Amino acid sequence: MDNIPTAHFLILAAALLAIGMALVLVKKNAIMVLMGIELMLNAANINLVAFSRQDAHQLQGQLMAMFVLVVAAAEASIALAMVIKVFYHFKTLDLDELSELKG
Amino acid sequence: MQENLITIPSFLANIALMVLFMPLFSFLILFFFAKYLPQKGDWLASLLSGINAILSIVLFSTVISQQTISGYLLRFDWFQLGNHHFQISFLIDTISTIMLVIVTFISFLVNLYSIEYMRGKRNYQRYFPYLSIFTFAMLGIVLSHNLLLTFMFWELVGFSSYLLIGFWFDKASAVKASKKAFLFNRIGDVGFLIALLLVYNYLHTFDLSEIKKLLVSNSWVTAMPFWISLAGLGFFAACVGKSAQFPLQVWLPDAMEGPTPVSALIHAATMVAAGIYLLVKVHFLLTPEVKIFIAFTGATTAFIGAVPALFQNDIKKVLAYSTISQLGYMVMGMGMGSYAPSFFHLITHAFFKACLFLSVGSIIHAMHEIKYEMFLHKNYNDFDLQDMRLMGGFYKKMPIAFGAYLASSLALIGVPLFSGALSKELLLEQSWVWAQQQAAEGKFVFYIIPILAYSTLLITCLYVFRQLFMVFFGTFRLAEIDIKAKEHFNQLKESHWLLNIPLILLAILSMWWVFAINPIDGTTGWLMLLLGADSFSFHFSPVPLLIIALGVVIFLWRKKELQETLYFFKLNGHSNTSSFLKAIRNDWNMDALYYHTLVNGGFSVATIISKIDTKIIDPLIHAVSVTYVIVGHLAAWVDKYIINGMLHVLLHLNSSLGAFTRSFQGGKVQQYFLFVFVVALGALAWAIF
Amino acid sequence: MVALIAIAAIYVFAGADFLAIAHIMIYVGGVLVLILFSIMLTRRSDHPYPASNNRSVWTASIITILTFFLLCSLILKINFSTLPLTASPWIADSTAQSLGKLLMTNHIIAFELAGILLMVALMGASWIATQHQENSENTKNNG
Repeated sequence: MDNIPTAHFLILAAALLAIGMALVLVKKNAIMVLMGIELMLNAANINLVAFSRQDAHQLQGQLMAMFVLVVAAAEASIALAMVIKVFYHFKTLDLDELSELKG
Repeated sequence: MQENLITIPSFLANIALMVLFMPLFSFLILFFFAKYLPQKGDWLASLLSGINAILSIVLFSTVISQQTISGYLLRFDWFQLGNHHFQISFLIDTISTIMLVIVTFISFLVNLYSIEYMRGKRNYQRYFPYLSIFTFAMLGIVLSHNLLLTFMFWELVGFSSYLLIGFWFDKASAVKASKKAFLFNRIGDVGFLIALLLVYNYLHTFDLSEIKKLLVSNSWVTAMPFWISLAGLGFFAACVGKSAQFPLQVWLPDAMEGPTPVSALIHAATMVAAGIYLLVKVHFLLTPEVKIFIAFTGATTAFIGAVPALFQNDIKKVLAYSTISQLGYMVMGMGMGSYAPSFFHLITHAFFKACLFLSVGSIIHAMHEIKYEMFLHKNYNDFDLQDMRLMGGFYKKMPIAFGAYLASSLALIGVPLFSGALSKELLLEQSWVWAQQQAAEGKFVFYIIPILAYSTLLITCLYVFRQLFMVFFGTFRLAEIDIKAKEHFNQLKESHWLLNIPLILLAILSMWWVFAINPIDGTTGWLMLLLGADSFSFHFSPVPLLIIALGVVIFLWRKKELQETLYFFKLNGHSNTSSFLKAIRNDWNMDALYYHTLVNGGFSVATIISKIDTKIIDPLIHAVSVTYVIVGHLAAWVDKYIINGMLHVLLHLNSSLGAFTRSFQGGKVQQYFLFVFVVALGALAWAIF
Repeated sequence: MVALIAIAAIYVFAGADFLAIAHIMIYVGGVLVLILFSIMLTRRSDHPYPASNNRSVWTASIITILTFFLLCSLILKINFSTLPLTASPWIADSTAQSLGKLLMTNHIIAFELAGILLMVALMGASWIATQHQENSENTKNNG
């Protein structure tokens, strides 16, 4: 277990980030876009945990990941509440149609 | 008169300022809040003016109880222009406090009278503030001891008089009369202004006591340079305008368009006296030549004012002409240097003329009642309320008005036992004495003045009796044309107590014993003693009495003729009288004269100016404008092709830039994400390579 | 869900067992449930559910693939072996104890702040999600 190179973790995180980005860009449903964002956050978290192995005494990476987790949870709850609100207001979650702020 | 002025004690200053500013206060309150007050605030105006009258009497008694000093001076800084300091100064001496008492007292009575007289009339709530502002201005003239301040109040008086003459501004004749009065007053005011500038130019002060001091100390009084004469003439011009002297007297009869109480207050008792008062104040500036001029003007005015009064049918116009005539007497007295009798006559005249106007006002009020009753009973027939030819027989119906009229008219003639006799006989006597003095130097032409004065007395006697008989005796002549008016006349009762109280008070003040115990010799009276009568020696002469008796005889002899044929009595307007008499009736045709000379002259000047305009100035302007047009075309071309082109380029740039930036704001979340990612990618690539 | 559990496994591999547990609890127990609920709440029979993909598939794929390869090239360029891997003796043990100690000592302020943030987020989410019927009607009337 200790032998897994850091680079592997990082490549995995990069893949995850790319997938999250693709989700964010491609999906029409606002909930799916949110899930993509979660994936991107997790990718960052993987990076943090991976680097935290370099600092086994302080575990700063893991701590940081903890806080990211907390914030991600808060973000998810708020964002989903907003999604519901948006849905009640516009009767749709299609992000292409939600263009009130068009300049 | 040796001046001995001291600075005023503060409590007297307070009273004086209170007296001055009370009417202003009353004006402000009534002007803005009269609508909200019960009865539109008329009681407030009367109350305040009553308080004012009491305060004035307090001031007066304080001043006359002083033996050693002749007056109090209230002086403080006003403003400063460069090195020129201006001060406000008020003088509280015998003369000014007497005037104060007259103005405030008559103003109080007129306010009281107006409550009933003006009741229910249009713009009732505006009447009392106007009266108040007039009183304020008049008190300002009376108290001011600074010529600049006097001038300001003088103008304010003219303005408030304008407002009150034109009070019934929906009547065209009233508007015309108010404009006329205003303009004629302005002519005089130009003289005042010139005099002010002369005085300031030479003496650098407007303060009257300082002017007097400077004149005495620089022995200018004996040298009398030309400019002093000129300044004196300027002040006299102001007096001519305000006091309706020849040749500017024509505004006063027209001023009778105002409400009758206003005529009583302004155009009989107070404002027209302001000119005389001004002469009293500046008398030390008058050179002997100017005085002679003044005396002749006064005597002429007295005579030519009295004659038209014989021919008037309007009840108020008779009184207006008599006012002109009496003012002429006063001015004549000023010219002869007998200030004290002039001022005395001013005082007695103020009371008896106010009384005359108010009693005549009661008659007009009664006529109005009759008209109103006829209107209510559906037999309305328009007639002139002030036409004496329609009146008659009022003495039984309105005994109080009759009594007041009788007392005051006898005072006007100068019958002994009435106040007018005291002052008028002094003036007549003085005119004779003065003419004799001048004749002793070989100037016999000065006998014209006493001749004019005495003949005026005869005419006065005639027109007063004529009016007395036409209004109060005989039968009620309106009933002769309109039989229905008879029953309304029979139902007429004595007028309201608010009308009668001022009448009674003023009638009492027209008696002799108010001013002197001796009914013939005015110099023994307290008032003349205060004014310095010891400089006169009075010799009683029976001439005035004889003239009055002659007048009565003539009147009784030609009574019918006086009342009927000669004086346009025919109601159908037909008359075969000569055009000369018509001209006299129309105030010597002076109106027409002024119209032809001034208005037509003005028009011809205007025509000349307009010709200059079209012939010379217009082509010039035309040339200039053509140049401008050419330059303008050039500028327009530059504008169109160069500046506009630049602007268009800028516009396109801006709009395309805006469209470009706007395209980023697609309103789609994912688009924004895309941008963010692209930028992040770019940053990444930059970091790597 | 599989992806999330897999991430937890990765954490375990990285020696972060507490974090893995926390991850499973938060994501599987919380966020996923929330997402499910919101999907259920926003699905309406009368309204066609949005088509899953939108038009920008090509740009999106280009960008994502580019990003991936750029990151990979970056990662592969770096020689991580130069960094010492501190294989601590207690790596096999749970990190929960040490994490707890650290949280309560060195990072107490951040910890408390995270608590406050969570509470505020909770309250805010519930406030946002409740239907302010009167409010919205008022705004309508005003508008």
